[in-house]
Amino acid sequence: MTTQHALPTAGRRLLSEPTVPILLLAGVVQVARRSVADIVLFLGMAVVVVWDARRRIDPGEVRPRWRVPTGLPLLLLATGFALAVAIPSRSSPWLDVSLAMPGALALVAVLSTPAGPPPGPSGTDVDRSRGWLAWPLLALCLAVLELGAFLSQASPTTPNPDHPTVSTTVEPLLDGRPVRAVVLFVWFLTGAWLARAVREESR
Amino acid sequence: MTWHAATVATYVVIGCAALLLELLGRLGVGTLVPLGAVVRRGLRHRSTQLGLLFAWWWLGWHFLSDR
Repeated sequence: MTTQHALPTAGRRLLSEPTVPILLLAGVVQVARRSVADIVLFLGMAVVVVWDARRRIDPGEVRPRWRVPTGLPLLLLATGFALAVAIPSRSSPWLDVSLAMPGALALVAVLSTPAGPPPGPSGTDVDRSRGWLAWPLLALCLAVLELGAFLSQASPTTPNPDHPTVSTTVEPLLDGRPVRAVVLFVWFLTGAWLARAVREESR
Repeated sequence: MTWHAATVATYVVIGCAALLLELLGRLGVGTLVPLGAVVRRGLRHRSTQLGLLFAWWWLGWHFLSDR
């Protein structure tokens, strides 16, 4: 498939999928939050998704050349990561660098593996039922509540004590290193699961 | 009950609802499905792959870093 033929198809497909609109909407919220780093991240990711859709090449030519550890090696890796990254304070640049590394690795790995053709209809349990809608509905409830809490703030950087956002609520808990280590452990394993699932979809 | 407590309670209710949905989905109650199955279905789309990877990473960074 050539890039020229892929352009209109990629554009139509992206408009029919929720990822880019959600990234753009979240980017607008970050503008309201006046968080420069988040504005760059969300809008930058939207650009990456569009760029990736336009560079589509023959998926038969490339197989994933990366693997995600499983079992005991993964648990040891996640434990080491959690313990090491829980040590520095939450305002340390070392923490930002440590958190950026797994994300950057995952992004490079996925982008290095061209996606297959757009999925057609399938007959999985998820496709057959409407029960899956409960998950996005729940996420929407949380998003509306979070947005309401944010809009009730006197300024984008001043939390409203009556209506705290999720991050304002959990931040005191994350100041403790043991809790932070557990959250880092779960976060790392979640990322590994996600990367492995992406790899399986790409084969 | 204060507004603060009510807001936090609502977050807790949403968290409990997610746990309940996951449990019912795993037990195969009605048409409910576990979160993992929904995510895997979404991962068939390339843009969702990138979007979910970004969401995972950003949530970790947003909550764990104090910047």
